[in-house]
Amino acid sequence: MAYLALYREWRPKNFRDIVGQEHVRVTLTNALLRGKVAHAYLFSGPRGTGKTTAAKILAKALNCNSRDGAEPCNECSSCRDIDQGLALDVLEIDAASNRGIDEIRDLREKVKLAASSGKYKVYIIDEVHMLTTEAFNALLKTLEEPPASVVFVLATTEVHKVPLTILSRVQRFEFHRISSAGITNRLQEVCAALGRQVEEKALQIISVKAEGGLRDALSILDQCLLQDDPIRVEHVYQAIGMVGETFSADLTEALLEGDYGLVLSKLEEGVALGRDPRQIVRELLDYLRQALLFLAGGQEPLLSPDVAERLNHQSKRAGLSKILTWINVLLKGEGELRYTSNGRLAAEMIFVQTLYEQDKVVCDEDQKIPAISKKPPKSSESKKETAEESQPANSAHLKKAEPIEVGQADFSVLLAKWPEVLEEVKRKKKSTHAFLLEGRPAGVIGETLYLVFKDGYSFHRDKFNQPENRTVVESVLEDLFGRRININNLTEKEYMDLHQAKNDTQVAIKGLTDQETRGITESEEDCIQKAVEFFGAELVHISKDR
Amino acid sequence: MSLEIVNQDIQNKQIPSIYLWYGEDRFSLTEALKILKQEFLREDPSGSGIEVYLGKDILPEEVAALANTSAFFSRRLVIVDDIPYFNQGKGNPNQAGEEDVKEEAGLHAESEGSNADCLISYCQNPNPASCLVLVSEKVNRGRKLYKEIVRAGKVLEFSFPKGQSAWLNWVQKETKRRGKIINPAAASFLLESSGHQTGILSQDLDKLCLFIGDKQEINREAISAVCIPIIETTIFAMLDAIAAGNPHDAIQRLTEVLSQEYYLKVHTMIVRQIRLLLAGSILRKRGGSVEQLMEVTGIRSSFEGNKIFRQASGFTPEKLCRALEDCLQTEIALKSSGGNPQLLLEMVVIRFCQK
Repeated sequence: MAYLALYREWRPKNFRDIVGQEHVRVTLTNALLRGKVAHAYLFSGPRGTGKTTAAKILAKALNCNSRDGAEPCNECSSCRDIDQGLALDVLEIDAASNRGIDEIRDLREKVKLAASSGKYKVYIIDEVHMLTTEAFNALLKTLEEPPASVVFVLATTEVHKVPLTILSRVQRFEFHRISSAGITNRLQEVCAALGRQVEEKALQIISVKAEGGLRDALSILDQCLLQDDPIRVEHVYQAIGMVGETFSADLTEALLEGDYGLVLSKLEEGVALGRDPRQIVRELLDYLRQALLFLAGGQEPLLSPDVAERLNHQSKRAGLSKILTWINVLLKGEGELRYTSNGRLAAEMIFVQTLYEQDKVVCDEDQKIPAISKKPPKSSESKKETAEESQPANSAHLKKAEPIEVGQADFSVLLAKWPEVLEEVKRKKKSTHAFLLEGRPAGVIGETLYLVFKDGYSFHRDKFNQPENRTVVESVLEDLFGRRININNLTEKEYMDLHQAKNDTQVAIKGLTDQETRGITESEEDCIQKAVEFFGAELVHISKDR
Repeated sequence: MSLEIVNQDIQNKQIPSIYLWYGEDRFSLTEALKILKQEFLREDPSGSGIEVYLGKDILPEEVAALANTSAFFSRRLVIVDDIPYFNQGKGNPNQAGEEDVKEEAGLHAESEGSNADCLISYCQNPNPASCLVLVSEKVNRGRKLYKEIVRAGKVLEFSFPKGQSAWLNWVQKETKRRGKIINPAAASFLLESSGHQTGILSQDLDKLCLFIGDKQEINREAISAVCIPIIETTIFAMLDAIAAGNPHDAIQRLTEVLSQEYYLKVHTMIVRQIRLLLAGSILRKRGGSVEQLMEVTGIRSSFEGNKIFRQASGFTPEKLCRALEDCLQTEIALKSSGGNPQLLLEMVVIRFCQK
């Protein structure tokens, strides 16, 4: 016997097997049990959600010789005939290919004839939105008052194309997208019955990629099952012809780094694996759209759980404006990609431009700072006022904890000159400036400046710790203050911990001072100071177990 | 109301020889036809005295001839649906339906106007053993045929209930007819969700009664589960969410709207909303009033005017101008294959909702 596709083999045969459409199941079964079946139904909803299946089950239930409650027996000749498409009283019409008035006139004539063997004649008109206006009008009167033993079931994915006159004459049911969990459960059921081993993660990806359509999910699974067990995530990506969300996530990571080289090498990696640059851009756009919807609308991303987690993290790091900028550039680029002969070069250009635009946005935002403040700076005093106004903005979080008092005089000078530092850093290296914008000077201890980054900005902190960024700022500080100032970067939480330990610090320093009076050398003091900076000022006594 | 008149006519055994039924409420009209047919079927269960035709399929003289012929076992009921006698000289008022009439009827449709005289003559001397029911969507009260029917028979208009309380009564009455109950709040929610269309509401009530099974009362949860919100409800909710700067709701509604409506139309609605907000914002700045806003923008409903005026307080004209510019760029992108339409519209909404 010829192979039967999974979605056909596993098509529900009873109302109870329909997944995720409780409202339809309950209403139709109650209608059957109470003998209140309407003369015309309209099943609408996304593809693969069970519209035609429900219509066929209804047709079977109406004509079944030994119905079990509302469920068809699936054993009698009528049920079998309907399942095999042989029933004379159940007519499945594809409105996409029978869309004219002549076909509907023909139908109208035949409707009057009684059912040949069953109790009801059921007309299932699939893709009904494809009918012409004239055909719809011709169908109106029949739908309004069909003969007693005729039931019409219209099915469509595009209900907005069905005229209101039809809608008011039918009982309409909206089939919802099936939840990922619902699809995964069904797929697990199928795999268990087939005795195949499929990773749960692979099934989750299939259910997410099916976008609520069980038929699509089963089709993907069908393709995946051509591989040997166990079926893994890679097989799924292979089957659906996608570069993979992980690749898009990696690419986004590279974009977040702001590193041109890294982005291009990532693209090269993808191309070297035989992936189409256009597809890479399209998938990245899709990935960024999910990030956008997550960030702005709080919508859970339709991705496998681990990639979804990465996306959540990345979207928070990037922020809304950056994602919007990226999408804008990529959308324009995607349009151009369609007409280019050298897809790879075009994709490279698009990614470079994406990063370039991102840098530009950072610059623009920086220029907007004076405008955001309440008092717009006057041109002659702009520099001075900008410095004064950006100071409270930068120090806004300082109110949570006082600056460390050590080196207070130096710190005030540094704060006053901080805008100049920012300006100079921006002139030297824009990307460093972008990271520095997220930090604020919190205090000075000795020759060390403490920069505090907001919680959740650990990425910026880490990036800032890299020598190529750190040295830029340190050299600027050296130029402005005439001496070398080291930088210690902390997140707010780390800083708060440090602040809470302030008293301990003082105690420790006091202890150190006592020790100094007891004869500690200058080099030893430096060592201790370093230890305090690195490990905090808490004195811990370590003793060996005996 | 007209449905009740038909019921009374039947009960009082005063069914006129000629009925002219018209109006937008097709559902009530169809119900009335069913009741009338049942009455004739009661007299003659074989149904041999009932004739149903479409106006485009039968000539007026044939209608007159049928009405003049007596049935064997009972009175004769001749129903002529969608009569075209009042459409003449109007230049195709009802687009698709009328096109279909012409297309399907051919010769009949062209000749019916001149021969309506046969029906006028029939009205002057109708057969008392027949009931001729002429059904039309619209009528022309100036026509001689209309005046003759008024004189010799009964003209009934089937119109939708007027006003919210009439609608609520209608819903409650229909629910009661089905052996269930619905409280005013739930009835109001149903109207909001399913719209003010008796046909659709009736279908929804049927569904709801089946869905709740043995329970007696139709509640809000059942309505949410079974009924499909009309596009207008979703669009208003989306525009309100946009105006309130709530991206979460706005995006959710946008997805729903886009599943039912063409993206350019949705874009146009967003532009309109921003334009109204801009007018509201500028007027507020100038110390204007809601009335002025309504006059300037052409808003007719004071509810909408008040809402826009209130919502406009949350925006500066500069922001709204920027949003309009953004809409322009999006429209260009939409019309020049500049990307996935849904994504483009989502971006407009998100940018607008950004504080």
